[in-house]
Parts: sequence; C-alpha cells; structure tokens
Amino acid sequence: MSNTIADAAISADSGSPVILLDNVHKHYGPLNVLTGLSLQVNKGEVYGFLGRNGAGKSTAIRMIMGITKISRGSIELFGHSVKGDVIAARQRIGYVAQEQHFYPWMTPKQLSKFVRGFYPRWDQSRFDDLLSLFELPAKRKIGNFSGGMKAKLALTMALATKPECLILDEPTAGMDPVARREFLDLVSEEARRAEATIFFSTHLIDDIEAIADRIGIVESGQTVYEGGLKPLSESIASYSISEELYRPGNVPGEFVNTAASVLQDGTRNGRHSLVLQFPYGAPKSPILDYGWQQDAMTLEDVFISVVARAG
Amino acid sequence: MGGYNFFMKDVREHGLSFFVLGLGFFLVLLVVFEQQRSGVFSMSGFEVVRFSLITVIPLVTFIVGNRLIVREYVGGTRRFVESLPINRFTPLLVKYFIGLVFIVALALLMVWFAAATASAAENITPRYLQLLLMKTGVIALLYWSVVFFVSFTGRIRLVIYVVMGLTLMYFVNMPNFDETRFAPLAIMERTLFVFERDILPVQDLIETAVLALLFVIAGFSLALFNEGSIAEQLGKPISKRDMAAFALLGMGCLTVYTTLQKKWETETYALSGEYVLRSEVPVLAVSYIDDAYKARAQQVLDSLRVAVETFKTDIGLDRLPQVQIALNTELESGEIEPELIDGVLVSANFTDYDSYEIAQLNAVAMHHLLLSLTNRRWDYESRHWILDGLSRWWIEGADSAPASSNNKELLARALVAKRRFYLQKNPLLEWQTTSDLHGFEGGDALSYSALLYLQEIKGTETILRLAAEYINEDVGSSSIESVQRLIESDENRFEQITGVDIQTFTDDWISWLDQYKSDNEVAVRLNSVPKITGKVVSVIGESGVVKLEAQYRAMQDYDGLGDGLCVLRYQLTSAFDMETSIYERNRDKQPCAVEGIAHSVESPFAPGDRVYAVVEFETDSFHRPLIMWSGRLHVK
Repeated sequence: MSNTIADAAISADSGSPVILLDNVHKHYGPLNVLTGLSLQVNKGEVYGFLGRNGAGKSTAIRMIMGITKISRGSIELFGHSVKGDVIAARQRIGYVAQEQHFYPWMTPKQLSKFVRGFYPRWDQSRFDDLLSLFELPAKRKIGNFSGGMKAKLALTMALATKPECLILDEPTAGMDPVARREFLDLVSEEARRAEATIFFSTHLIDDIEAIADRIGIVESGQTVYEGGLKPLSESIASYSISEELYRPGNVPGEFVNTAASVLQDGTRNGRHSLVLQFPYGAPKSPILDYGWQQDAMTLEDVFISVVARAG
Repeated sequence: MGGYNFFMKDVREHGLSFFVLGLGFFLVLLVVFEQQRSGVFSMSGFEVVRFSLITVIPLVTFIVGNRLIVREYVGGTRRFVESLPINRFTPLLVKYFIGLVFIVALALLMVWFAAATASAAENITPRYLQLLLMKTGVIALLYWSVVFFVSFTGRIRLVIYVVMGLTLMYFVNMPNFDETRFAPLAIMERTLFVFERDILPVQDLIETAVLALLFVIAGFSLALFNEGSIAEQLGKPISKRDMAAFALLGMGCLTVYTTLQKKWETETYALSGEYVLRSEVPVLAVSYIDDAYKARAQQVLDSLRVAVETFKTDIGLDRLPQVQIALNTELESGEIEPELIDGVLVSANFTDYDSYEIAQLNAVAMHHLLLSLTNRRWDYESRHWILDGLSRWWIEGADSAPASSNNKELLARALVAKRRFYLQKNPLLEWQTTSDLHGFEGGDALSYSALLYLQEIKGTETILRLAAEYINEDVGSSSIESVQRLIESDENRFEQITGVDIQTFTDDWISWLDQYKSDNEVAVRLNSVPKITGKVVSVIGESGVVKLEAQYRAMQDYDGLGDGLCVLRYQLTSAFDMETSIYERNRDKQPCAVEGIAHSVESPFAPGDRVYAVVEFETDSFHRPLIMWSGRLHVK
C-alpha cells in the first residue's frame, strides 16, 4: 500500500481494530494473489471491501478466517494473531461464504443441530426467529433451496452464533436488485441489533453505498484506498474537453497543480477527459479554461478511476 | 465436541446406506455360502471368506470411501466444514474411523458367520478362528487405508485404482516371481489363508499393518497439504481434457500390459540336448535321457505324430502348438504331469510303457493340445467329456478303434465305472463328479466309449463336426455376441450337431455299453473286478495318532473278491479341493475283504485336516488300478 490516499485514510482510526491486516502476501507457487494487503476494521463499523472480480477479496477473507495460510505479513483478529487459536476466533465470527456449500440432505433444523455444537454462544431461538423472518422452511431439505434462500440461511446461521464480527464474502452475488437490497437491509439491521462489526466484500458499488461506513478498495492484491466513501468521492473530479479543442499538455486550469495524482487521462466519446485526485478534496467551483467542463461522477466512476490507476 | 458432532452427522448421513450395504453384503455372502454348500466339492467354509476378501469387500470399501470422502469433496461441502470452528484434522479422523470400524466389523462378522456355517462340518478351534480373524482384520484395515488415501485423489482415483490393479496383476503374473512371499499377498496365499490353523504370520501381519499406516499418512498428508488445495483441485468434476489424458494413459497401460504379457508368453521351454527326438511337422519333441529308452521314445513320437498329423488334416487346422514329452524317471509309471508351457509339455516316466500306456500318455498330450488350441475354453464342465473322449478316441485311431485291444480294456473299465452310475443323474453332464468318482482313467474310458457309440450311430463325420464346433468356436465379435454364445447351452449345441438329445443319447449309450458285458475279452476283464465299494473314515488311535480305516461292502450281484489287491491311497486336499488323482505315494495294499476293516493306517494328519481318500483295485487284467470309492473326509 504505497499511495498517499490510503495512507491518509488509515490514520483515521475510530476504535480498537477487530480485524487488522498488515502487508499480507499470498502466493500459490509463482502466482501472486495478494502482494501487500493492509486494512483495519474497527469495532462496530460496517466495512465494505471493494474490488474487481479476481482482485483477491475471497483469498483475503479466507485468510482472515484462518482457512488459507498467509505467505507473508500478519493478520490479527480481536487483537490476536490468526496463527494462534483460530478456532476460538472463529467462534466469535459469523461467516457467510460467497457460495453456500451446505449439506443438501440436511434441513435447516438439522443444520442447526449439527452446527450449534461448534459455537458456545449459539442462540437457537434467534435461529428459529430468523428462519421465520426470512421465511425459510425449517423442515425442507437445503438441496431444494434457491441461491437466495441459501444465502439467507447462511446469514441466519451466522447471526445465530451471536457473532462479535460478521464476515460476508460477496453475499449478494447472483441476487436480483430487490433481493439484494432486502438482504443488505437485513444484514445491516440484524448486525446492528447484535452490535456486531461487519466486514463484507463486494464488487458492487450499490452494496457499499447502501450500508458501508468505511471501505477498502483492493486491486491486484493490494489496498489502493481505505477510508470513508464520501471523502473518496469528494477527492476525485473529472474534467473534459472536446477533441477538436484539445491540444497535448492542455489542462482545465491552474488549480490542477493542487492535485495529488492523475487517475485517468484519455479520450472517451469524442472528448478528452482528465480524472484528478486531490488530497484535501476537489475544488467546489474551480475556474476552468476555455472549452473545459467538469463532469458529474457517479460512485462507480470514482471506483473505476481508482482501480484503473492501480491497475 | 466437534468430533462427536461430525460423527453424528456422518452417522445420520450414511447410516442407512451403510446398513443397506451391510445387508446386501450378507445377502451376497449367503448366496456364495449356499453355492459353496451345494457345490460338487465341499470346500472349507472359510474359502468363502477369502473369496469375499478378494472380491466383495474391496467393492464395499470402495463404495464406503466414495460416500464418506469423495462426496464431501465433489459436492463442495468440505468448504462449509473448513469454515467451522474446528481443525482440519478432526473431521478426517472421524471419517477414517467410521470407515475403518464399518469395514473391519463387516469383515470380522463375515468370519464369524463363516465359522458358524463351517462348524457343522469342521472342527473350528479358537486358535484357528483367532488366526482367521486377525488375518481378515488386517486385510480389511489395509483395504480401507488404501481407499481412504485414494479417495482424496478425486477424479483421478479410478485411474489410480486401475494402475494399482495392473501393478498387482503384473507381479502376480510375473514369471519367476513368487508374490506370496511378500505381505499382504503372503497373508492371502490361497492355501495358508484358509487352512493354516496354528502359525500366526506375525511378520506378514505387521508388514501389512505398516503398509496400511503408510497409506493413512499419505491420505492425511494429501488432504491437509497446502491447505487441502490439492485434494480440492482433484475433487473437481472430470473435464474433457482429463478424459483425454485418462484415455491416453489407459491406452499406454494396455500397451505396456500387452507387451509384458507377450513377453511372458514367449518365455520358452524347449527340450534340448542330444537325447531328444523331434518331428518338424507337426512340431513334436520327445526326450529320453538315455539310449536305452530311445526306442520307447521313438514309439511315443511315432504314435503321436500320426495322431496329430491326421487330426490337423481332418479338422482342417492351419497350425498346431508344439507338443513336448519329457522323460522323467523320478515319476512313477502311472504319473503323467501335463502343463501348458510354450505349447504342451507332458512329463512322464514311459521307460516301461506298452502300447496301452503310450496311448494313454499321448491321449493326455492330445487333451492338452486341444485345451491350448481353445485357450482352455474346452475346459468347462458341460463340454469336458467331449474333450476327454475325443483325445482318447483319436489316439486310439478313431475309425479303426473298435478293433484295437486297448478298446476292450477301455470298455471294460467303463463298465466297471458304470456300476456306480446310480450316484449321478447324467454322468456326461456332471463330468466333474464323474472324474472325481472314477479318476481320470475312468473318465477317459467312459467318454471314449460314449464317442465310440456316437461314431456307431452317427458316423465319424459327426464327431469331427462336434470337435470342430469347439475348436473353431467363435467367442463373438462383441460382448453381446459373447454373452449369446455363453447362453447357448452345450446340450443344445450337442443336439444341433448330432441330432440327438443329450439325455436320450446318454441313456442309449449306457444300454449300448451293457452289450459289451457279453464280449469275451471284456467279460474276462470285468469279472476280475469284484463288485464292491468302499468307505474310508478317520479315527484317533490309542496313541493319539489319526488313523485312516477303510472297509468294503458288497454291491448288487456280488460274486467274490476277484484276483487282485485292494489299495488305500490318500492325501491332504489342496485349498480348492479339486483332486481327481492322488499325487502322494502313500499306499496300503491289502487283500480285499468285505467283512471288517480292510485297511488301518496311521496317517500324518491332524484333527481339522481335510483328506482326499481313494480305494482302488489292482489286477493284472487292467493296466491301471480301478477306483472302487473316492471321497473327502474331515479329520475330527
């Protein structure tokens, strides 16, 4: 993690970390999956872990869960190294994997019977309540459940463990927008009720926007941004000029000298555009030279700009 | 707690399946026991245990491994398990022990079941049972450990099983390599596994257990290595690329195996040196050791050459395998030892053979020549009488046979054997029992006479057609055709070729045979054999030594004891109990008697042994003794 934005954002620590990753590397033979991932999830916050497909999100989560070993660097959970008593740490975590691999022959009732032995704080009544809330049939075989139902069941199971931290790996993947929003609302509501820290990965900006307090963006196995969503979107601005008017070396105005970095510089839809990142926020109403205009940016544009630069 | 949870989960998931599997296993076992019990030969009940350990138990173990381990990887549920607060090792350990307990318990129950069944006929000592339980348990442990390891290899597991099987076959079939000297095959040695009652093969058991442990360690290592990523990768469904790789590997293995098999097959055994007489066409060789026996060897060669040459022409064969006859003066005159090595190799001591015995020797050579020609397909019981009969009939000169003096002796011998036909429904179709009751000489005489009768009613051509049917038998170009050939019964084939129903033929042949009773030469020989049968029992003598006692009793139309000697012969049965000849040279010759005990000999046997015993009648009227009774007894 070498860029200034991330460095600046990490310093904005708001409490003791539940999850702390420091310069984590992971390689499978010659393939480097993570090349220096650092992030910090503080107690009580909802942390969105954003990255493109294949950026290393799932690997990072599997390492946090102690399923996959770290090649280099360190991971701490609740202040203790994950290399220590990972079983005790897992008992404090509710985990929802990207794909659900429950035993298809089990019913939710049988699943709870099987799983509760592993979690000392298992709350059966909460499990039953959540089943009703999510309208999941307790006596139907899980093999007959849809993908969304399985995800809800995984969340039910995770919440019934009364977790201090809820880790969700792309939990809404494959859901339609309505179901996705419903699911995220439930996550947010139920987790907050349980006062749990939430760490969830996604490649969907909407998910982040819906519930995240803070975000971390990972690209090519590294953290390229960590901090609030608002500061990020306010620090980036896009300017464009028609190709006829553009001359190499042209900039929108003198204010660009205050920019920390150029995220994008190229032509798109007949216009030359420049995306800039400012360390203390983009100027609200800059004086633009002839032909230049400031373009509106969606969160997706912001994400793409950050990721594109890192890539 | 976690381990218990997994145990209960696996019991819930697989309990019913394993129960059904166990039930199915015992049903199969029941069928095998029933077949064994009602079989012609009463083998030891524990033979079924060995049979099941080689066939059914590996299959059950494979299924258990598939359910317990492979499903977890292929279905991806392992990913759910690894996210739970439990170490990776515990679920695997639970699975290993569940599989182990199930397989070993099943195998040990099988031994117990076999012991319960066998105890009706055998003396099952605690030591004997203990040995069988230990050997079975350790083999079951090895099976499960192997399957446990291989199950983690996911989609390539079938290839690994095939490679393992081929490797095993390679060593088992490798010439000059005694695989039974090495564990675990040493434990499974066909005779020792079933019949060893005292000596515990400690070293073999330890070596097998160590081998099992190595497989267990390999299994755990594979499952845990690199966070289980190898096992997980292998657990993914088979791809087209994998299929192509497997096909290539399979073809490679097949090529290697075929090449090796050819190499094994081309291992030659050729009589060499100056004391060998040869014929180039057909390829024959007879060794004679010393010039004193050269004339007899020449006689053997000449007679065989004529028979084989005419056979080749009459049946219309392109070529024949070579036949070699080796003189072995260490054998007794009546001992003929045929083998299918590089064609046919027969060892015999023919130094004082006359024309009858030379014909008998050459009939054995002819018999094995036909077996070699048909790749042993002619060995099946329902057609074997034709093979035996044809061999002798051809050597006796086919068309000219009725005129030969051997012919009368053979017919007389057949009539002696006929005295005990009441023991069988159809002596031709129950050929294994016929050979058992009358020995191979009696069987030869009976089948020879049957073909002689067929020749009389249907002509030589019909016999040649019958011979060609089996020699040129097409096994079919596809598996369906092969099955169709198998379904077609030998009785039907006989009827199609001869136009006579086999049962009618048998009845008519027996009546026809009776007419020779009035032939002078036959009658003289026949009357020299007393109409008696015998019975051999084992008793424990006063000194504690096992004694064999034989008595004779008069049969219908008994008319005296004849001018000959009664002989008791015996030997320990082999594991498969298929003897129709006694190879041991133990003999007790006594004058025949129908009252009291005729033979009483101290034997080398111990309680629990199974013994094949024969009482024969020796007379100058016949070249070889005639069997009066034969049977198997269990020493108690």
